[in-house]
Order: sequence, then C-alpha cells, then structure tokens
Amino acid sequence: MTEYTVRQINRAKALSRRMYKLPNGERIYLRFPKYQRIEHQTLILSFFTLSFSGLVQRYSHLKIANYIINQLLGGINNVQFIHHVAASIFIAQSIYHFAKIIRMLLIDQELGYMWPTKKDFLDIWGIFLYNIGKKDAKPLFDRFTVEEKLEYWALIWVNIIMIITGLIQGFPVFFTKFFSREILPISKAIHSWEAVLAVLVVLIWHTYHVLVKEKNNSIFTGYLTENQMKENHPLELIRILEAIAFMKEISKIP
Amino acid sequence: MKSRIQGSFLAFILSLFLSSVMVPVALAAPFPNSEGHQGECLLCHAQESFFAYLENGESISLTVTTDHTKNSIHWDENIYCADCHTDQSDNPHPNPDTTTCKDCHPNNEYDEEVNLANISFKLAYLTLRDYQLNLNNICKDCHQSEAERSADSTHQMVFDQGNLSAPICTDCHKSHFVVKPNQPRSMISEICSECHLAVYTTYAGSVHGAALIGEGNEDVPSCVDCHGVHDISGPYDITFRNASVIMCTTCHSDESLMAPYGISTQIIETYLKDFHARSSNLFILSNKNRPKDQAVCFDCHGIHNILAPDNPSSQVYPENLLHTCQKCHIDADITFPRTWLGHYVPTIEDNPILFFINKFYPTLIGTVLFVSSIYIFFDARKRSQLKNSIDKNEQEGK
Repeated sequence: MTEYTVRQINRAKALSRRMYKLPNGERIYLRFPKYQRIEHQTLILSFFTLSFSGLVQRYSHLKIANYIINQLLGGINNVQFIHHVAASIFIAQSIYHFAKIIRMLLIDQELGYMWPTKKDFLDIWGIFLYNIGKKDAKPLFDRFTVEEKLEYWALIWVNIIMIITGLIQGFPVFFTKFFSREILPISKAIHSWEAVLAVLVVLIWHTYHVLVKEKNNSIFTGYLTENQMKENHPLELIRILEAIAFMKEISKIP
Repeated sequence: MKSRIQGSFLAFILSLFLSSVMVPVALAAPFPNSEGHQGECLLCHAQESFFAYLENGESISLTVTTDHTKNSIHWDENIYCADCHTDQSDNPHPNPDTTTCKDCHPNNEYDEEVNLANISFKLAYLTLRDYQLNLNNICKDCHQSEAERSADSTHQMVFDQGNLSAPICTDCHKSHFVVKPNQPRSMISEICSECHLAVYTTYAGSVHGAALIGEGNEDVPSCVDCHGVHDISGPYDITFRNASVIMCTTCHSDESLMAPYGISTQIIETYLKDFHARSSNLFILSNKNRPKDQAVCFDCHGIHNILAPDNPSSQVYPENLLHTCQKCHIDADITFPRTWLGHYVPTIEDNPILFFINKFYPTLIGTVLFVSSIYIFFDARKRSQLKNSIDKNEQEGK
C-alpha cells in the first residue's frame, strides 16, 4: 500500500473541491474563489478610475478632455484627487497581491501556475501555427493559458512602473533627495506613455480574450463549464479529475 | 546792411504795438464759441504770473504753456479751450467771480492793457482737486468707451473708496499737453512712474524695462501690456494671476517677435505641458475664480524684476533656482531644481534618457499593437473557420 503525505492529500482535497455538480447534472469548475473575484473587481474599479482620470490629464488639450475635467469633474484639482485616491487603492491591492505571492511561495511552499515556463514559448508559437493552419492541434493549457500569462506579467510590469513613477511625481521633494538628474521629467514621461500602453493592452488583448472570442464571465460567477475547461484548461481539468479519483480511492482506505 | 537793421527795428516796434493792442482787443470782445475761437484764450492765459485763488486760499496758476497746448493732439483735431472749459466760454468768464472784473470795468470796457498779475481772481472751487475732478467729467463726452473701461479699473475702485488722489484721466493724459501716450512707448511707463515710482525703478532694471527705457526697444512690454490700459485690474486678485500666463504667452509664443532675441517659443509649449501648468486648456478654461496652486511664469521669473535667465541675478539662474523652488517646495534639496528640464524639449545631447524614452515608447506601443493585432486576426479567423465547419457538419448531419 502506497503512503501519502498530508500535503499531497490536502492538495488533492482542495483540487477535488473545485468541481461542483449542478442540480441538472451539469458539472462546473471553480476558477476564481471569492477573494480573487473581489480582488479583480477592485482592480476594475481602480484601473478604470486611474486610466480615466489620468488620460484626461494627458490629453487635456483636447476639447472633450477639457470638458470632462472642468465641467463634469469640477476642475483639475478634483481630477487629481480622484486619481490619487484610486492610486492609493491600486497600491494597496498591489501590496496585498505581492503578499499573497510571498505567502504562496514561502508558507504554502507552492510555485503556482503563473510563472513563465519553456512550454509557454512553445505554446504561443504553437497557437500561432495552429491558427494559420500549419498545425492540426492546439497546445493544451493548464490553469493559465499563455495568453493569460502574457497579460498577467504585462500588468505586473505596468503595475511596478506606474507605482514607482507615480510616487516620484507625488512626492518630488522626497525622491529628489536620493535621485537627481531628470528623475521627474523621466517619471512623468514613462508614467504617461506606460498608461497609454496599459490601457491599449487591456482594451485590445483583454477584451478580445474574455469578451470577443468567447464570453468568459468566470471572474464574476467564479465558475467555468466543462466545455470551457476542456477547451482552454484541459490539463487543469485532468488534474482536478485525478484529484477526485484520488480522494475516492483514499476514502476507501479504512 | 543798414536797411536790414532798420527792418528788424521796425518789426520790433510793430510787435510791441501789436502786443499792447491785441490783449485789450481780445478782452473787449466776447469769446467766440467753440467753433469760432482758436486759442484767443491764450492771449491772456499765455501770460506768466496769472493766478486765481481757490476757496481754501490756495493759489493756482492760470497760465497755459502755448507750446504745449498747440502741440497737443486736441489742437490738431480742432478741439480748443472752450470745448473742455465749457463754463468759461464767455468773456468775461461767468465763473470765477466776475465781480473782480466788474469792480474796475463796470461797463465791460477793456480798452487798456491789463497786467493780470496784479489782479486776484477767484475760482469757485474748494480745492484744486475739486476743480480737476469737475473738469474730468467732460472727457467721457468724447472718450466714452475709455471712460467706461476706466470705471471698472482698480484706480476707480480706490477712488470710490474715498482716495481722491486716485488717478483720473488728466492725471495720466495731462490736461493741456495731451499727446498719444505710446509715442514714444517708454512714455507709458514714465506716466505710471509718477505714482508707482518704486515699481518703475524695479521695472527699469528688468530685462523688459532696460530694453524699453534704455534702448528704446519697442518689442518689450510696458506697464499697460500686462496691467491693461483703462480697465487696469488689481494685480492681487485671482483673475489677474490666472490670466498672467496668457499675458506672457501672447508675446513669448510669437515666433517673429522672439526670433531676433533667440528666445525659443517652445518654452511656452513645454511649460504648458509641465506639472506646473498641467495644460494650456486647463489654464484657460478652468474655473476662472479659483486660485491656482501651481506656479505661473512670474512666480519663478519674477514680476517687475524679471531678468534674462542667463543673468546671474535672475531668480531662475542655476545658483538662485533652489531658493526660488523653495518658495513653494520648502523642503527642496539641492538636487531638486536639477531634476527639471527648464522649458526645453529634451535633446539627445542634454537629456539622452528622456529623449530615448520618448522615442522608445511610441515604438513599443506600435509594436505591441501590431503584433497583438496580427495574433488576434489569425485567432479570430481560425475560430470563425472552425465555427463554419461545425455548422456545416451539423447541417449535413441533419
């Protein structure tokens, strides 16, 4: 008889709990637990507010932006106040997210599924070959597809850059004590350009993948259907099913 | 030679005769009305030592300098004494006190030469200022729009608060020697200096003032270019501060005006994109009555004492810049001013990092957009192909 560690059993237990049976017999799979959904909803709010209140400042020479600033929001000082409040939320949730990653790595001793791997580079090429008809089968994905990983890491990058350059602009006197030489105009330029990049990526890449190519609303409902799992996350589906089988097996052990 | 001396002697005799006869002749006749008379008043009023007494005992000179009057712009426009001094158009004048004349001339007979210096005339005004204020009202009969604008000025406001010394038309434009105030342009500042001497002295030392007063350069602003002409607003109110950027930019964004001095017109554009300005439109269209907390041009460059940035005394000269920044950024360190580019577009020599960033990001954004568009295009195409084939299979299956 094989011996299982507590860790193995706990992991399998957690995985097996991801599958739910609906009353009509359909099986759905938990993709995002509640805390992740709340995190994302907060991000929608802070990201949208930041982009909006930031871009109207970047493009304030346009009539429409000027109208928004002066007529709708009551002046530039209000716009900046909104931007700073949203930025505080954004920073707070970034700290929360990094704390979660550290907890996962150090306490749970797990790597998670978001790290870039060699397979990702092969996958993105594989998808492209499949899409142009040079390959018959699509690469199989685990919990996160390469497209999702790309976007996640892009957001992490944007997040770090925006927070650093934003803080420098918010506290210029403090930061110039340590850094000299154009730090303010550089921060402003990067902050401004990076904002455009981030908004465009979210608008194009994210909108296409969760709204256009398929309606994936698991970030709001928390669940994916079995078909969606088979299509996008077959390796994860296998792991879940294996865990269920495993749990059944060990439940037989007296 | 002899005949010439004889001629000039004759002329001298003739002029003596004329001068002794002309004054009584002029006085004997009533004054012509404004259309008719062209300076007959000067026959008396050109005399020196011609005084009148005011009710407070002050004496004022009634002498009018002929040169000044005849060179004034009003004279050229056929506007003469009685057009403004309407109450003095009759001879003898009904006001002042005509009894002083009638004492000696009960029948209005003025047939001898009169030495006006010996007569004490009276004017029915308490003070000189009363007289000036009374006469000042006549200006608006012709200069209506100027008078209306002046009525909104800070000078008028001070006057309304009870300061009778606040300037009226004639204080700046003078009463008899009225000339175009901007010919030469430096005269404008000199007029203001009569009251605002300290400011004038500062201005005269500034880059603008030195050019105007010292070199007669008319490209630079005089007082009225910033403060307005008749509707002079108080420089301490919010509207003035908010509008100040436009005052500076009007000239400093004018390529033809700036080119001879090698001043970049980009300084305005770069300033307006800067933190301090946030953006040109915000400045122009923001709530006009709300104070701006960010620096406007004069906060850094100075107001009347503005100097060229390469002048070691300038507030924005590198050595002085920290002190200027500290006016708002109290804790600013020595490194603080160095992190600012000035009003210049970053170049590869001076600001390579910034220059690179501004080149890099458009390229990066373009690349990301291009690659993801291609990716999405093929992905969407494959999906529609699959969907079509599934639909086809279903139809065949039926």
